[in-house]
Amino acid sequence: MGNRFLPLPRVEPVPIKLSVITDEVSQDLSKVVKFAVEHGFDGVEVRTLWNLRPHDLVEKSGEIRRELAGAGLSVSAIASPVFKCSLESDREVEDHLRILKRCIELAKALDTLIVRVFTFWRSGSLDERLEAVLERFAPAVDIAGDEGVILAVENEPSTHVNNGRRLRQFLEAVGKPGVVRGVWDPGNDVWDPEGERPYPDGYSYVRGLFVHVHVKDGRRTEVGHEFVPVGEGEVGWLEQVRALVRDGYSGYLSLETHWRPKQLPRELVEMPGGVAYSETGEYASSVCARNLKSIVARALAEVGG
Amino acid sequence: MKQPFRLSVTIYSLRDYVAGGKISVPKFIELMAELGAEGVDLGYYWRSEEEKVEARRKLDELGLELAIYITATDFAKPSEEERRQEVVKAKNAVDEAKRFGASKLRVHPGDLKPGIDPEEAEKWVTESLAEVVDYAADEGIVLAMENHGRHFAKVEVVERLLRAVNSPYLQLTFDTGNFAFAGDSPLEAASRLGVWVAHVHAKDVDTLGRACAPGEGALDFEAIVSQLLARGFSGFLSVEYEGRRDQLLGVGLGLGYLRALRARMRLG
Repeated sequence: MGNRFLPLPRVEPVPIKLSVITDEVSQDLSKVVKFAVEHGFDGVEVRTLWNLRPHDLVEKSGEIRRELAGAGLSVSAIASPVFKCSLESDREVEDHLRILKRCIELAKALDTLIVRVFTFWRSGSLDERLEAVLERFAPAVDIAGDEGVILAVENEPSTHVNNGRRLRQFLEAVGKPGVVRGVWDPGNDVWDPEGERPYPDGYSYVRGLFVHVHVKDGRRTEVGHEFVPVGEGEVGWLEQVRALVRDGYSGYLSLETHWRPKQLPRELVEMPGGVAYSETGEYASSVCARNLKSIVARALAEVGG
Repeated sequence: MKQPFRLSVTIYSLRDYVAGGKISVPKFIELMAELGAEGVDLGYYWRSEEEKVEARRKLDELGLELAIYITATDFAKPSEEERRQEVVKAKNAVDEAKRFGASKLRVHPGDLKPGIDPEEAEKWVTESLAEVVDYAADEGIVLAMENHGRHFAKVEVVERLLRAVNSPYLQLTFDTGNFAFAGDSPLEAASRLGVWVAHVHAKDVDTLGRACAPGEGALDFEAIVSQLLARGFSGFLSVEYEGRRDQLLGVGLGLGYLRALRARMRLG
């Protein structure tokens, strides 16, 4: 018997948008566009293209813009490598601030507000290193604030913000929600040194604090971890997407496949990009795109209870 | 608890998946079961006879109903010979529907061709429908003619055809979006044609006149469905997705909306 005093189910499911990170498919933009169109995706996230890092793509922004617009695609975010560098090195940090400025230029040229950034190679726990990280991070916040873009900090186990709990801790410490938000990457939690479970644990910390989601999957092994096709690992993607739909998330789910039929070497996973990274990416990303769409369709279909 | 209506998905919604060879019909049935559909509309994407057997087995295994069998017909073709061929095609589809265990067959009236007198075309459609309906009645199959195209999607035209044939074996596949595309109000259509409705294609239309998933557009599904239920409708609402998203996501979105709508109507 229905109870009319219970809250009504959400009547309009939120249409989550899908994108794919360029070099997870190819270094050739036309192949990335073809992939995105064939899979009915809404956009692409720009990391490397033509073997160039995002900060070297500013001069190519007109070409990128034209090709995407012709296919009805948007740019979901710029996947910059900013602050995947040493916290201790003045020179590296200065270099990365220059990289950030170029990535912001690219973001504006491609009509996205989101620039994904990191929190320096891990040199201890965030509890120990928070003050130092905040100090090094501060100039980037000023730059992004002046430019009107969002720095989206990703939880990445090889950096100081290594999981969802640390992402929340960091975002609260920065305290600038108009400028600095999160990228929630539950797949990265599978290799979190603190062993956080992506869903529901990691998600419970970051709920409402992120503007972008990366989609990959993996599992722990005896010797570490391995990436697997989306939906076949330990993330619990169906439960995660259900929660996103229920919570009204309306940003992008951006496919960051990482899995390849033959596992990628660790250095490529930590600094993804380039021809070697994209090799066999198209096949692997196709498998993951199909899995992801089934999961999202199911989560959307279940919204009515 | 008895549901006010049941949820289906027409295989046409996933045409790029099925016609493109990405999935088989049995796989389509599996996917729809995963999305919580209670029935499916099947037809015309078969790759072999074996696939039909496998699809039937899959429906039984997963407990899904064959909501309706579908074929596409055009009884408004100017030449008599061509119309004859369409009648044969429809009769074959009746046989097929029966073999498959369906109780309903979706047909189209046809498309009004340039330069053809609408009255003449309606006469052709009526004659062909009457012949196929006689055949279907003997087999115990209800023809559920869809309001489809431009001329033959209009409320008054559909009503004329239904009244002219005047058989309990000719009913209506009520396509919400097609009434809107033809410039008619789906809500008025529900009120006027509700008693004939055997099956519903749930298709929404946005303010720019583009097809989209139920719930995404401007149609008032709650009012339309209420009208249909008040006139005795008790069949399937079938998601027919013709929007621009990935078709599987469009179907998911539509099912989610209709399921929420159903829960709300049950509570109200």
